Amino acid sequence: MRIAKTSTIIEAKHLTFRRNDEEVLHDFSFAIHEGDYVGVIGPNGGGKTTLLRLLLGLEKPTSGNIKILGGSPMRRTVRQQIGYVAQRGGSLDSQFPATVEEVVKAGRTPRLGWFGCWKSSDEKAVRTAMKEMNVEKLRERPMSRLSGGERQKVLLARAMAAEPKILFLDEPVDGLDPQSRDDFYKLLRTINKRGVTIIFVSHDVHVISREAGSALCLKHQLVCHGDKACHIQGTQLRDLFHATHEDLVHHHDT
Amino acid sequence: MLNSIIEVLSLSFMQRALVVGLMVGLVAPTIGIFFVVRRYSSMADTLAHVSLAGVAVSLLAGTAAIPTALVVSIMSVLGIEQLRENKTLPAETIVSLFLFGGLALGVVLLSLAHGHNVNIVNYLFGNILTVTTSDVWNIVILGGVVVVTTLVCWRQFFAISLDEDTARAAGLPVKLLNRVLAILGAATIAIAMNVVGVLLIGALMVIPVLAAMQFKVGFTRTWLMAVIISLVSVALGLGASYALDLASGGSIVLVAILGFILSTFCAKLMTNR
Repeated sequence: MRIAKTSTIIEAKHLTFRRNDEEVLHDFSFAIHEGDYVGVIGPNGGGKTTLLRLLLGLEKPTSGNIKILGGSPMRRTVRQQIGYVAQRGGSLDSQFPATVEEVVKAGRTPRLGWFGCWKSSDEKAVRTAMKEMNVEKLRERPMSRLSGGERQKVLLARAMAAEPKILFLDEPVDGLDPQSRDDFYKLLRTINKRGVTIIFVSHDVHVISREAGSALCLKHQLVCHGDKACHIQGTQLRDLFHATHEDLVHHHDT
Repeated sequence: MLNSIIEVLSLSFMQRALVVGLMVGLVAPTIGIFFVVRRYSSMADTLAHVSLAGVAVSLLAGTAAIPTALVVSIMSVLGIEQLRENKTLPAETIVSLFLFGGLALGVVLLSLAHGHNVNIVNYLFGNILTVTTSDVWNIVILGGVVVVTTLVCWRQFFAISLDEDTARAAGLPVKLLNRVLAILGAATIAIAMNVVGVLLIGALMVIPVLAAMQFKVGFTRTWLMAVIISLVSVALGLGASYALDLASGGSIVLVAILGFILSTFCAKLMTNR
């Protein structure tokens, strides 16, 4: 079991979610602490993305409750402290007529309020996000002329422009080449070292094992949530991921 | 040539036409760009057809056409947005339902209003040269409200157009912003009704934006280019309409299409350079 060293930043209690009479998630409880780097893993259709959407307040649980930063994920003040990178850029059209800088600036918009003016602090946050994600030199380039790896870095910069406390990512490297994947995970490690809590969804056992500090394994219900080593029995692992037990044991201390 | 232009511009009906035309030329792509980038271009056509039903209602009720069309359009866009958010039907299906429903209702109501002394062709195809001074004031005020509101909410509209889920997750009031944008769209249709007619309004909202998008210059620059293309289309279209005695709405849209062809050609040249 996890030894509490920092404050709880996300808490889910008895979470159940039904869609069209089908139970996608069943009686799900867990806690995530400040500064954690959590990989959410499970088979396709096992409820990973649904869990993320519940945590983001994009779906309402059928029963149970979620607290993020001590409040409901539906609250605007909570949402303003959250960053999100959707799978394959979400609904962002690849031909959308926007430059990199415009897209990153859009990540800062929720912090401005209705009639909020663009202040020097906003400009600074955007510049810092672009610099840290290595997209500063692309600032004038249209989104339609970016490679897959560059595009994901820009979307990460957009999320970071809001200076979030928690960063959610849904299969962020899906479709990228190995070099771009490595670059992306390197950026995530840097972000996490700064104290940002990261929760990322993946169906890749090896990536979770290598990158995350802890794993949250699910298949419609919580299979395990553990730090360092997620002790799933071999039979469960085979059933869940068609992988071996060793694949899911973390080796961060070695 | 210059004398002829000065002579034409000294005519009061041409001055009114130019003021109204340029306002529509500014407003249409300003709202249109958000419809286009969200692949929601058919929304403009739907609102136009629904506003035809609004015109028919005004004929039966004896009320002013533009405000009545505006009210009917706003009620429709709120209905469309509600159904879209319920996600029980695909967005295109909802928009099509309202498009055909609006047109059918308009036709039925117009048949009931047959005894009224109405030139429905002006509403269908536009006749900017018949615009009155009170129309000018209505259009300038309503157009000003649409432009100012859009500019104030520019960053928010841009963020929800990029990706609704990400914007919602980050705390933007997406539902409210969608409704405000849809209402501004309805107002744009009401404004442009006299200029290009309900059948061609969508074209002026979409074609200048598509022309500007060929240059791949970012969002704000695309909008500025679209406004310039739209204003030039209105001015040249109006001039051609007066000089050659052509329908104003059709002339403006044909010039805009010419602008799209030229933009595509120029953008390709610039890319190959």
